[in-house]
Amino acid sequence: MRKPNWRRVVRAAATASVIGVAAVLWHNLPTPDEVYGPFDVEAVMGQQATGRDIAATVTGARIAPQIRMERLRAPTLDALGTWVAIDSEAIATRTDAVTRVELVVGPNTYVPTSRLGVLPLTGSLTPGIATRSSWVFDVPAELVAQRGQHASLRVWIGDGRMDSRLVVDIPLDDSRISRSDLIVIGPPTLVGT
Amino acid sequence: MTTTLWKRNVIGAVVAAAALAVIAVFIVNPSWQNYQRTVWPAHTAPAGEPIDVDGQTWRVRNASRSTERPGYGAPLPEGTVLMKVTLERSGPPEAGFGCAGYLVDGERSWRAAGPPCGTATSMPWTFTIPASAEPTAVDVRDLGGSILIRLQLS
Repeated sequence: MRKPNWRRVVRAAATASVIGVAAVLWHNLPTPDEVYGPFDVEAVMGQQATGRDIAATVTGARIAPQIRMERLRAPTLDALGTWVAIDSEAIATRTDAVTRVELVVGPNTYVPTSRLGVLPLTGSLTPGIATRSSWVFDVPAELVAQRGQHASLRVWIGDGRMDSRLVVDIPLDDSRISRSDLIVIGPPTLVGT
Repeated sequence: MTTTLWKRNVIGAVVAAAALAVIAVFIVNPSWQNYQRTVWPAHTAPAGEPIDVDGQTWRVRNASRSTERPGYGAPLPEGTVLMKVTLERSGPPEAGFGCAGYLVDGERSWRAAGPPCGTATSMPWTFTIPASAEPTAVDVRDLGGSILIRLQLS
């Protein structure tokens, strides 16, 4: 019987180990979303979330089947589902910037409605001047009907790649969530800070 | 055999280094230069001084603050002021030139109200800024965000 060449055995084992580790690494590489995705800045309702380009505080939310702007002859609009108005204060921190916003409710993600025109918070924010207004979404009523559910508001600037994104948790049974028949969106408040 | 393997490894390392160098020069560097142009101005004029850029002279004609909006418009938001800066250049720009005015206070900047500047030689820009801001310069930026000229105000 030939004596095994231990040197060759060790080399083969080392090569197999390197190939095995490389294969495991290859199958566990981060996805493009993980590499280029935003850096989430998490906060809860009532707490300020501050990212690199924007800071925002969700102060409350209103849920109703109808909505109206507070101005003369403004029509009352019925929701396809129900209206969710997220009352917030937001401010740009570096330069004028247009926000992008999503509301995650249950398994779905919604963008602000365009039926009310451009509201101040969906327009351009200014450094040093806080804007108080609402982001308004039309969502299926059953998604916000159940007590104990949470919604999540995401706010960011630009395309969101490798930059901060504000993520605010909104418990839908919080005392700052009001439910009524009609939401009235008042004029925005701008305050220099 | 060992020498051959060693040579092959060296050749591989040199090829990899050359590939990285090509990527750095032709892909990373242009993007980095584009970014740098949005951070550092290409030309800077001291306060009160005109500056010649591409055969044209740029100067700040007037800079003032106001707590009232001109005319009978809505009042300014609480805690804000209106800053007016008028820039002049000595002649019309090349065809297709577009720019925007930004007021600068340290890390913060505000975009001038209204459309981008076009062929006019006098540019009366207005900015709504917080009353606490003390702008130190006005930037002329191209529509891609590059800072073409920075004119110091103080």
